[in-house]
Amino acid sequence: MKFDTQHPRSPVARHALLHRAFRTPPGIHFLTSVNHSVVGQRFIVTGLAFFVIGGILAMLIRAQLATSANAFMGHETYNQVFTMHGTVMMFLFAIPVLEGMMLYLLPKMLGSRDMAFPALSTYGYFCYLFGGILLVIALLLGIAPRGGWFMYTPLTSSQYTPGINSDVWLLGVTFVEVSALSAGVEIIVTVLRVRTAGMSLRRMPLFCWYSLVTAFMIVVGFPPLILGSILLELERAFDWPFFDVTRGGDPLLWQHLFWLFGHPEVYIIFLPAAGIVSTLVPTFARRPMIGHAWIVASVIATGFISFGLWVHHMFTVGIPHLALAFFSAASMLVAIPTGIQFFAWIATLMAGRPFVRLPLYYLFGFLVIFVTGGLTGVMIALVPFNWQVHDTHFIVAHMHYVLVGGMVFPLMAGLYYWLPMATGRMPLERVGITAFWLIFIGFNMTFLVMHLTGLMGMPRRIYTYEGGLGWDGLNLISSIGGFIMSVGFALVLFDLFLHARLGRHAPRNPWGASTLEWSLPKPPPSYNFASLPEVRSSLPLHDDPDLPRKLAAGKGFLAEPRPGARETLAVEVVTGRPVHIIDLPGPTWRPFIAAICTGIFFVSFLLKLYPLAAIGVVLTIFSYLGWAYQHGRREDAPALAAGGGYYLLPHFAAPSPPGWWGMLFAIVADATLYASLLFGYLFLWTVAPGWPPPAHIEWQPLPVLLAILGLLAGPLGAQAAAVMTERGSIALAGLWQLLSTAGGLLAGGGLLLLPWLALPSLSSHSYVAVTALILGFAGIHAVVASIMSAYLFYRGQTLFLSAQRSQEPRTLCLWWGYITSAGLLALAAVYLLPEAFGR
Amino acid sequence: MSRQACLGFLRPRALLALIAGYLVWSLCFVLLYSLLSIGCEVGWHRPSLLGLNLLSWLLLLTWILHMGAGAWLIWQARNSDPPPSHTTAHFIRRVTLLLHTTALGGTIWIGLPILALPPCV
Repeated sequence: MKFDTQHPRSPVARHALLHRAFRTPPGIHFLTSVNHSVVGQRFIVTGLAFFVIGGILAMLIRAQLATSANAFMGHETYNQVFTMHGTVMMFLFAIPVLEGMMLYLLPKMLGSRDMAFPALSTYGYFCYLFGGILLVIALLLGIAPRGGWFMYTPLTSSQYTPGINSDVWLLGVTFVEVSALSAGVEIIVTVLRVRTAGMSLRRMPLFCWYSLVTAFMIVVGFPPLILGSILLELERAFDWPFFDVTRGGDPLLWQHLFWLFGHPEVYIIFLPAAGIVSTLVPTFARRPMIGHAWIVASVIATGFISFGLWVHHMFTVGIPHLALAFFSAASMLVAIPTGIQFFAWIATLMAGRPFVRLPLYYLFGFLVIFVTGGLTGVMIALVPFNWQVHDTHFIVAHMHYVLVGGMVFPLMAGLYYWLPMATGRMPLERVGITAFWLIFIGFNMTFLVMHLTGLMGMPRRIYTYEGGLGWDGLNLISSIGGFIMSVGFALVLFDLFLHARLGRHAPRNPWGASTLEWSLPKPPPSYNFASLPEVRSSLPLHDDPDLPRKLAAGKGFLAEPRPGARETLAVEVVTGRPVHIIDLPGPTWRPFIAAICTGIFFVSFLLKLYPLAAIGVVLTIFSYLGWAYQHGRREDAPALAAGGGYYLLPHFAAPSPPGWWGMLFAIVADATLYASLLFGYLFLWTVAPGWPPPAHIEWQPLPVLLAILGLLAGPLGAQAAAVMTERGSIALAGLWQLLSTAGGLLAGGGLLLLPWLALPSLSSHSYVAVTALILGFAGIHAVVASIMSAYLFYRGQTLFLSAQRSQEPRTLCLWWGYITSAGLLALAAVYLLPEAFGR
Repeated sequence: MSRQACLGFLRPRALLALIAGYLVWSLCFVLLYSLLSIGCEVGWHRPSLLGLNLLSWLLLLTWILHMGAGAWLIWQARNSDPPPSHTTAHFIRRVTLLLHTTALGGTIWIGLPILALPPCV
């Protein structure tokens, strides 16, 4: 490898320079940290804290159900406790803790110094923390959600849950989901673009493939639930009747939207955990993974098929048998890619020379428990059996076998595996193994017998039961098992604290792993790599055990950092060839401020302070703009020596920078939400009772014409502005941006006026409400596009744009293309569909 | 196959080609479910044509078209000279073929109930 600098720095000088650039500021300024290791650890620690809360709630449930006719809790408290147990475990523990693992590990595995958008992870973390706190405060005040973690309507509608309880769930969980979506976009862009030199897709670690597919699933899977939450909150707050059957609504719409998210969610949780398994198995088997390509194909296949299963949660609601058969077939199909992964893991362990250490105990636990859960999953994919056990404790048992077996056990394996890297000390093997057996035995005591309780007819979600039904003994065993499992988990947490003092110091690569994260010092420095490695195989550390010393000595890429600069490589997606240098942001208050502003919106809406909520929206938009304004440069930049003979431009001067990719996947998420809304419209029209509606949208030529003109002028102006910027005509580009701004206002005005001028009362029928929402969605997006065009006009005036620095206008073109398509589709949907279905 | 087509597996668009088979599977699944829902609402299951109702014909046609598309994708991917082994292009081609083949199997599997069950019951 060639060096581009005549006099390279010493390793100590390089460390000091990089650490000054990447370190977390002291004192209260630690809130400004955007470093992926810090943010990832915060996600993990916060997630584990919520796990403790969810665990305490589980113990309360088991205490209540231990004996028949138990008066430990009343029904109101019990409803809140079981709802919050599911909500906390799914939304505040499982997803965030795995996001934290991905954020912490991905740059280290990919040979990078940070994620693609470090400040976005920080913003996501604060949204998660604030949303979680909101939910827990509601629990402490006794006003927590009580309609089950799936919040079925009409039970959760204002008629049957008139208090604030359902609103806490709808707004709190949506606040948390902002975090998941931002992590999803960030992970996709990071895995695709922010890798080290030579790390082609073939050489990329399997965990990164799992993370990539999971992130895509988050981006496509979460929007339907966000839409469902918006619809239910609009119904509760403003009486827009999306789910009220007396006014053309349908509760089944909620179930569709919820499970469109809810079933992929199982795999969103399972896949990163399976990624941990695929990382640990070859290490402990001491041989490369068998069937690498098969596993990659299986993960991608699982990602797709898991979106075709959602109706198997709704087999009893009265859907045509043929439709049930489609979903039943897909539900059985998904077992195949999962099975392929299992056979690959088992084959690798059998073909290797496994050595049994603490993490492997949890892997064996995972294999046994998840296979059992998978088998009962195939059973309930069959419609007749599903009907028999629907809403019984059999389902509770199955769900826990899948989720605890498929996520918690691999997570524990992963925590123990990477603990030496994060803390520099080895786990306490004996304490850990004792905890494992307590958890394993306790888990099976709790949930294996619960299958029987369910088969004997005990329904879910009941707060008490009569004696003499044959359920007493089984429930008591479950409760005892639950408490044994809790002791096991308490021991794990105790072990995590204890090992920091008593654990022996870890060698650099204690398990003999071959992935890049083990080339780092322990604990890893804030910047990860002193110089970025050039990867020549999928087992870089195995091929070159001396790699850590070479990287510290600067024998890699970006070995001569500029003072204060946080730089990492961006690569071509498939081959891993370096294409530009990413100039990463440093510590900033902006994400924290933006999360506070977002919180003002959610809390105000919850308290029904709607004017303040509107102010929260405006503040959030301005905080985003202020945040974005920090980035970029006012002068052009030359190509910089990156090492290996490469001279690369910084990302803001490159043709496809991370921002462009981030916008692309943000649009995918937004378009999924929009598609879900159009699905809801079509669903109500074809399935809901009380249709066709009594009155339809009136033809209003003026606002329609204004909207169409604006939707055409917007992208035209944005495209022309991008071309002019590339040619260096910034003044002319500014004029085109102004045209685009006006187009957005015109389109937004036209689309937002239509519900006022052309529709009857919004609370009269679900047709009116959904039509108004489609137009409102497109209109608000057009206004946002207008603000973005005005912002770029200002960027041009303040010298942030030039022929070289022209990526921002090009990125805006992407957004405008989407907005115009969405706007025209909205007009077509509201005016043409009534004609197609007949008035 | 030309060298250019072989190198195609190294382009970013190869990622789209990678998932094309499962995009076909997804489209087939969504169309079958949507057609069934709309058809039952509009009454396409009532008119009879050659002993079979219109909706079943539509579902069969949709299914067959997607199976054809899936088979065509496999033929396209197989019709290329394999790139040298142990290269990224070879890996992408292999995963693409695996995905296309399993997606076609999945498309066949999910459509089988059309042959066994009447719609709208």
